[in-house]
Order: sequence, then structure tokens, then C-alpha cells
Amino acid sequence: MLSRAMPSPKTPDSPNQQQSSYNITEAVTFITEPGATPKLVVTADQPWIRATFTLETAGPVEVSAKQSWTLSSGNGQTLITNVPLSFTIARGNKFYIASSTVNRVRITIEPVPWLEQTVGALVAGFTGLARVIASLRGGQ
Amino acid sequence: MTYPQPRTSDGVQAGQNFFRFNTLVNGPGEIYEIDTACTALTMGPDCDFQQLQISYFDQTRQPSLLNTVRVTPTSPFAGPLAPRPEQPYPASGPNTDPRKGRLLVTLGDIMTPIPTAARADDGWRPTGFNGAAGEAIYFVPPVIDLIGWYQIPPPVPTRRGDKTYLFQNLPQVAVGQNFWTVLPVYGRKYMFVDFFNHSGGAITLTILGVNYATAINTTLAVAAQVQKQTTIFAAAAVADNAGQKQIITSTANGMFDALAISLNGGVLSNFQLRVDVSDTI
Repeated sequence: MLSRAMPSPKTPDSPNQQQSSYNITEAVTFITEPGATPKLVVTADQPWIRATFTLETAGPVEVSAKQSWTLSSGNGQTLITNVPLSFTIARGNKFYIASSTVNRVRITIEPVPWLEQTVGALVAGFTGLARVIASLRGGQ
Repeated sequence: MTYPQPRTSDGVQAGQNFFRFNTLVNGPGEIYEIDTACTALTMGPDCDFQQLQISYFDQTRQPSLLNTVRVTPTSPFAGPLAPRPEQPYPASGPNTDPRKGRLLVTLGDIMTPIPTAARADDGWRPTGFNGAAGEAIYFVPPVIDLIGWYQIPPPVPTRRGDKTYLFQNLPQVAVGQNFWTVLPVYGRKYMFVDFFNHSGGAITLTILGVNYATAINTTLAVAAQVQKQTTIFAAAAVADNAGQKQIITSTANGMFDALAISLNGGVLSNFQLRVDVSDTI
């Protein structure tokens, strides 16, 4: 995750690195540091990834797609101990984590399978097409 | 425990699901800090105290912004409690430099200070105690044991464990003088004292129950708070090769902070003094 989660903004991934990261699932344990400054933990470098956060301690820990927010302000989502929280993240988006105390968070980042993406797109397309047809029939 | 105390967050990085305060206590004013949030607080098995007090930041409590909860052998606290270091605590100092929020652990029971080399006169003394004549007293330092859970604690309850104290000899004091041994028995419901004398001569045994007070006030014209001692077994000689057993229960004798046992004899060795303390009768 490290190369994916905390990339240096000055050194973008080469095409080879991007290609190699498509099929890699990464799992790490992240220790939050005292202080409420959000830390970058996930950067989506491919079309879709799924990031799962599981808090192993008592918190409070929040995650957000915003770069800057304060705890309990409503701009982040609170992790609940031992309750996984997953997000499907589009390419280019980032996720941050913040806590006021030392906590342990399991983070799993996995690519969304291409078939799932394709099927999802097809289903969305067919659903839209079906609605169009249904509306046309209803209009006749 | 070392000073400064270890961080309670060390267990997070070590992969543990809990942290533990387990240390001897020397004085009633000791305060410990917790800098990690807890889902629950339970009393550890080695704890001698009946009540531990946890203070936490609570913005709903005006004007102190402080709230407390007590952890006892029968009532753990199900949190979560967070130290909230992001929250300045205005009552702690000037507005320019307020302290950060913390969880603070203090004793919920009254404790007598443990005498040290520098302060040999500290602590409770029995009525009529005569240190100048050679009478001596030894305090077994009580232990504070608190477990803070990072996760929901396991269903197996953690509770204060039973303890057994064994003595086979004590420092020899002047002939005719008492040697007092003071054991912490905060809120224990059952105690069993078993004394057997092999010393070659008679030894006089005395057992007192002690309830500490916050202060002894002899100067103000108000009712003084006096540390109270209750005679459980009045002084009686135990012959050589003879024994004495004493069962002390909360229902028959009451509850005490400490048990003071005196031995007085020509030779304070070659005996067996066993004291069992328990939370259950």
C-alpha cells in the first residue's frame, strides 16, 4: 500500500508501476499518531479500488475524502471498533485518516475486478435501455 | 512502575488488546495518566484497592468540565472513554496554556502513606504505639492494578483475585514490644488468619481492623476525623507448638481498609503466619 497510499506528488508512477499495481491487494496495519491532522492513507491510482478500514482499538478515528477536517465536525466517517468500513474509490481520489490518539487500523486495498466493473457498466446500460423502452411502450 | 510512567498507547503498537497499570502505590496522592481511549475499564487481578477513580473530560459538567467514574471488583465500567487530548482543559491553567484532556486514574479509597527512609513517621499507628521503646510497624504496600481494553473485553470477567500472605519470621524488636504487620484488605469480605508458633517460646498475637480517615484534626474545634481501629482478636499469648486461627468476615466483623497483626515475643522467627483474603465468603 505504501507506494499506492502515500505517493510522492512530485514523482508520479511510471506506466509499468501502474500496470503492476492493478492486480495487487495490499493489507497493512496503520498506527495513527496523536494529533488531529489528517494523514493521507489511500490514493486510487487505477480506475476503481476498494479500501476497507477496520479499527482495532477504541478510537476515535475518522476517515474522509477531504484533506482537511476536524474530528466530530461531520466531515468524516467514524470508524467503529471491529466493524469494517469499505469505500469504492475512483481513480484520482484520495482518502485521509485522522485521530486524536494512538490507534490501530487495518487497511486493505484491493482492485475492483474488471469483470465486476464491466458487468456493472452493462447492467447500468441495460437498465437505462430498459427504462427507455418501457417509457416508449408506456407512451404508445 | 518507572517515572515517567509508560505510555498506555504502547500496547497499541505491540498488537495488544489492552493496557495494564500494575504498580505499587506509596502514597494517597498518586495520579496516573491514560492517553488512549478505552472501550472498557476493569480491575486487574492484583489490585488491593476496592475502588479506582477515573476522571475524564465532560463538557456537559459545568463549570468543572470534569466527570468521574469508579471501577470496583464488582462493577467494571463499559466505555468507551476517550482522553480527548485535542480538547484543552480550561480549568487546568491560564487560558494561554491550558492542559490537554486526559483520563486520570486516582485511588477511590483512603490510603495511609507508606513510611520511607526520609519520612519514617508517615502512616497510621496503633493506639499506644511506642516507637521510641522499640515497637515497629511494617506496611505491605498496596498494589494498583487496572486494565483498560482497546476492544470489547472477552466474556471471561476480570476481577480482583484472592491473595495469600505468608510470613515465617520478622525483624526482631526489643523484648516486650510489638511488631505490627499491616496488610491492605480494602473491601475484602473474607479473611483467614492462621498462626502457628514454633519459636520455642510464647508469642502474643493481636489482630486489628483499621479504617483510615482522610485526616486527623486535633486543632480545630470540630469533630476530628479519627482513623478507626477495631479489635478483632485481643492480645493473647500463643504457646510454643500451638496455633491460633481466626476467620474474619464482612457480615460478622465488618469491612476494613487494612488488617494489622502484631506479634510480640522473645523470638520472632520459626512461626507460620498465613493470611488469606478474598472477595467472596
